[in-house]
Parts: sequence; C-alpha cells; structure tokens
Amino acid sequence: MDLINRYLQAVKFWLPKNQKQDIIAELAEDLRSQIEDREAELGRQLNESEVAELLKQRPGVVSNLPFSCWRSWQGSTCCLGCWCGSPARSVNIVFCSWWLWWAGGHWYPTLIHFAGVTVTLAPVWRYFFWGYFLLGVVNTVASAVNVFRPYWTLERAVFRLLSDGAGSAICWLMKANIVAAISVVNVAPEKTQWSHTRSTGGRQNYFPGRSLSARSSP
Amino acid sequence: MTQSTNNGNDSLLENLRLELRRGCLVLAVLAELRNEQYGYTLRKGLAERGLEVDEGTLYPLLRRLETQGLLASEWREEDKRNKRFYKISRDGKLVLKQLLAEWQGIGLSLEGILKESGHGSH
Repeated sequence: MDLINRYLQAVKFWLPKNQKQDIIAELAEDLRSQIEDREAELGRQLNESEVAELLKQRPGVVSNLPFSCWRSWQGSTCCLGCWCGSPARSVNIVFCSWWLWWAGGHWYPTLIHFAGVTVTLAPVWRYFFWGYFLLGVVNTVASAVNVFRPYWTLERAVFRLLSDGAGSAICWLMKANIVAAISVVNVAPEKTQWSHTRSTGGRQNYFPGRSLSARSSP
Repeated sequence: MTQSTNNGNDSLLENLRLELRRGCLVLAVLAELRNEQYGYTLRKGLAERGLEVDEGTLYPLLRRLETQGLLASEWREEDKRNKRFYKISRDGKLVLKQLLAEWQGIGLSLEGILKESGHGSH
C-alpha cells in the first residue's frame, strides 16, 4: 500500500488544484478495486513487485487536461523512479557519491593523460569544476533526504528544476572554452593544431567564457 | 514499402481507429450507465463486452458527460469504501435515444455503401 500511496502522491502533484482530491480519490478507488480483483483471482495478497507491475501496466491514452499530466508522468515513471522509490534513489546516491569521490581525488585537474594523449584544460575549468562539485554535493544531500521523505513530491520537483537549471547554465558556459591544448605522443604538434585553433575560436566568440578565462589568468 | 511508410500508416490507422472509437464510446458509456455503476465496474463491464478503455480515457469522459448534464454522480459508501457512482440523467437518456437512432442510421447507410461497392461482408 505504501507503493500505491507514493504513486498517488506523485500523480497528485500534477493535477489541477481544484480537482486534486476528487481525481485522486477516484483513482485510488479504481486501483484498489483492480488489486482486489487480482487478489481474488490468485486467492492471495499481491506482493510489492506485483503491485508495482500492475501500476506500470496502467495504460496512458489520455485526452483531458487533468489526466494529460498523469499520462506524461506515467511515461516517465519507470525511468525516473518517482514512485518506484528506493532503488532509483539509491542509484542516484551511488552516482553522486561516485562523482564526489572522483572529484575529491582529482581536485580540478588541468592535465588529463590517456593512451598517449595529453589534454590540457583551460584555467577556466576550475570554475566549472567547483560548480559541478557543488551540484554534486547538493544532489547527494537531496537524494539522501528523499530516502527518508518520499512524500516530498513538490519540493523534490522544485529542487530538481533548480538543480537542472543550474546544470544547464554550467553546460552553457562550458561551451566557451574548456580545452587549452591537446598533444599526442609521437605526433607532430602541427597535426594537433586543429584542437588549439578550435579552442581559440571558442574563446574569441564566447564572452562569458572569455571573461572567466581572463580573470583566471595570472 | 519502407519501414518509415509502414510506421506512418500504422500511426494513421491508430489515429483513425481512436477517432472511430471515440464516438462509439460515448454511446457505450451512456448505455451502460442506464444502470448505476462506479468507475471500475463500468470499465470492467465495457472490457468484458470487448470495449477495453483505460482509466485515462474513461474518467475524463465521465467528467465531461457529467458537465454536459448527461450523467449524474454521487460519492457513496459501499463495502466500507467511498465510491463515486454514476448514472445516466434524464437528458442523457434522451440524448442516448437520439444517438442510437443516428447510429443505426449510419450503420444502415454504411452497409448499403459497402454492398454497392462490393466490399460488403454479405
């Protein structure tokens, strides 16, 4: 039943305020009747994974306004784990933790060596690094909170919106110029010139990146 | 025929099929609700008669028909649970009668057209 409540809470978030209670009450009744029917067929109670399966099977051909959000939400449930709950959140925590670990071990590296290729990052990278680092920390905390407060649907959505917005802003700024140079062992410098040229072009064309670069230069 | 054309035809067919079903569904729901029922039993009843309809289609339709004055609903307790029961209204009965006549007329016309063009099943 906890799973059903989480499902209903998640659906509720997307419904128009004045119809929320009414639609949710009816949807809840429909769900419970369906579960009862299934249990009567099987002669036993459904376990959690069977209930989850039943929820996932809920079809999504929706036409009216209150239900259209429900449909778009339904399409994303399996991927995002909004109501699937703990497994998805755990994966999120593991990912964020890994990111923090990785970041902690490297502390804004400006040189990356891989298979004979050396990539030198522009000094501006450190700003993006700290931006992502901060987002990583905040996301990890948010995921941890979500494990204990699965019903904070509205807060989670608002937070995710802000977090995604910040991430997108950083990506947009990163467009400017990240790579300063690429050198490859046993390859003449002029053959790797394209990277440098491209990078320089980005620096000239993108003002925020250029200004950050200028500030970070000695 | 390429795969993209096939996909295009499938999608077109699906749209036309849904369009065709939409009108029939109103008739079916109004007819079913000559006896009072709540959402789930209505959906189940329709499915048992070969007209499967998901809740995302049915409940909005019920709300629309109620707003149009063709249905009436009330929350009532049954088996210790609150359920919303729907029933066709007086106006709904009138509309159903007219729609059924229209439906039968369309059926007859279509049958005639199909016979004439040699595509009839008879």
